[in-house]
Amino acid sequence: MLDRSSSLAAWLLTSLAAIGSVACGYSFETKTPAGFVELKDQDDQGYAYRATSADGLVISVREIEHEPKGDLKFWARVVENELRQNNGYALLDQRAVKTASGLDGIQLRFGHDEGTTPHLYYVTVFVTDDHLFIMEAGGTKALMTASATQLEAVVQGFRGD
Amino acid sequence: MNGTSAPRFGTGRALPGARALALLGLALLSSACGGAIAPPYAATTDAMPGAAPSFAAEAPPTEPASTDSAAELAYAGEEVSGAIRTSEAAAATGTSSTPPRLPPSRLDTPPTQTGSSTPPPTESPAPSAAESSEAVKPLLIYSANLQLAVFETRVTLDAAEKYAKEHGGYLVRRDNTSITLRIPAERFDASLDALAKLGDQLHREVNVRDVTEEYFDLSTRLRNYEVVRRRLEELLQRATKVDEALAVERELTRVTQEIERIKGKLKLYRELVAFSTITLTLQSRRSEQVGPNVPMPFPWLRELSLGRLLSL
Repeated sequence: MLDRSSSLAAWLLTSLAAIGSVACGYSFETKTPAGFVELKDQDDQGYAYRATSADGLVISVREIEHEPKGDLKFWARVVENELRQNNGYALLDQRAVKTASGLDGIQLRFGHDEGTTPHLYYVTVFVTDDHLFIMEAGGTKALMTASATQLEAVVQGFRGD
Repeated sequence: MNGTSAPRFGTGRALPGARALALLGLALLSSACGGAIAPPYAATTDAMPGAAPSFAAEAPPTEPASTDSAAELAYAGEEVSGAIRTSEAAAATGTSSTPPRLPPSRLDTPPTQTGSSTPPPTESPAPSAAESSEAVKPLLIYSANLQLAVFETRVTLDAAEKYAKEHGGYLVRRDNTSITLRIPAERFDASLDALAKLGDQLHREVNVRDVTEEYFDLSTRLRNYEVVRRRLEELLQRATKVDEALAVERELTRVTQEIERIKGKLKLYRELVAFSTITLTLQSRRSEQVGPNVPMPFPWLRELSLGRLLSL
């Protein structure tokens, strides 16, 4: 009987972990994709959530108080300007995304050479009444391209309040 | 017995140096003068009738070229003459696959047909020889600087170089973050647009330099030097004294060098007019320069960075 309870508890824990990660004290949920590990205590670096693959492809979410209020296009444009004009990232693509929960977002896809290696840097902006969520994903071009499906899944599985 | 009208070549033992100097003086006066060749000769002859009567007898060069712009251009090289004079033919073959060696449509197009940004040719109140028979076509040197944000710099540089070669242009200079290309002038605008699409355009600057006046000035000087050279060659053939011959030869060498120098400069102008220069500067690294945009008062924006994201 005890064995059965133990295995049930273990199953529950495993299932919860598989379903997704809920960042403690934050207003969003995101799934950590297979092959990634979530890094703890990222708040001091401005991240509400950050996970990395063994090869160094990193995903993160920033949660920002939505003040002053602006619509999705405004915030996406602010991010685009900052990265393009002030930081020299090349905007490769910009696309509208929608999560499984129905939250609209705009994904900005930038290219950037770090040293001599080409990197891709995706910044997805979500806006709710109370928060801005900035989801970042970055890594070498090869890694990002190979992980395209997982990155899509992360966006799809994002939930924000 | 011969009096002052007799040529003094071969008879003036007492003053061979003076004669050589006189010859050189004439040549120098003529060559140093940027204007028409005839007046300096005439003036010199009048001023020194006794010193060089032989010059006075033969000097006045009746140069039909001085009143014909076509002939004037011919001094600068057959290519330019052909390019400017045969505008219709050049326009008809302007899309040839081989890189044009001649100033293309911009040279061939009359001023009134050029773009609104191109200034009209200068109209001198007193028409010079170059302007006498036809309107002067503007000779414009186009150049542009493009600043692009890109990633995969090498790929972009390769693409830019390939584009230039496929469109009749060529590579001038290339390093890790910039490339300078020469593109046929008639493809300047289209090339600029095409190259801008290789990255995320941050800045575009187009410059136009009108070298019409400089070009025709040089052509005139070249024509004058050519006349001087012919005269010096004639004098050299008739010189009977070694020191005279040497003096004339020295001057001939100098004039020849000047002719070559001017020809080189004219050739350079023709090439610069025929091929526009486009420089691409690629920005692939973080820039700390202050841009023209107003910084947004959201501190979290400044934290967005791939480097920070990947710094675990």
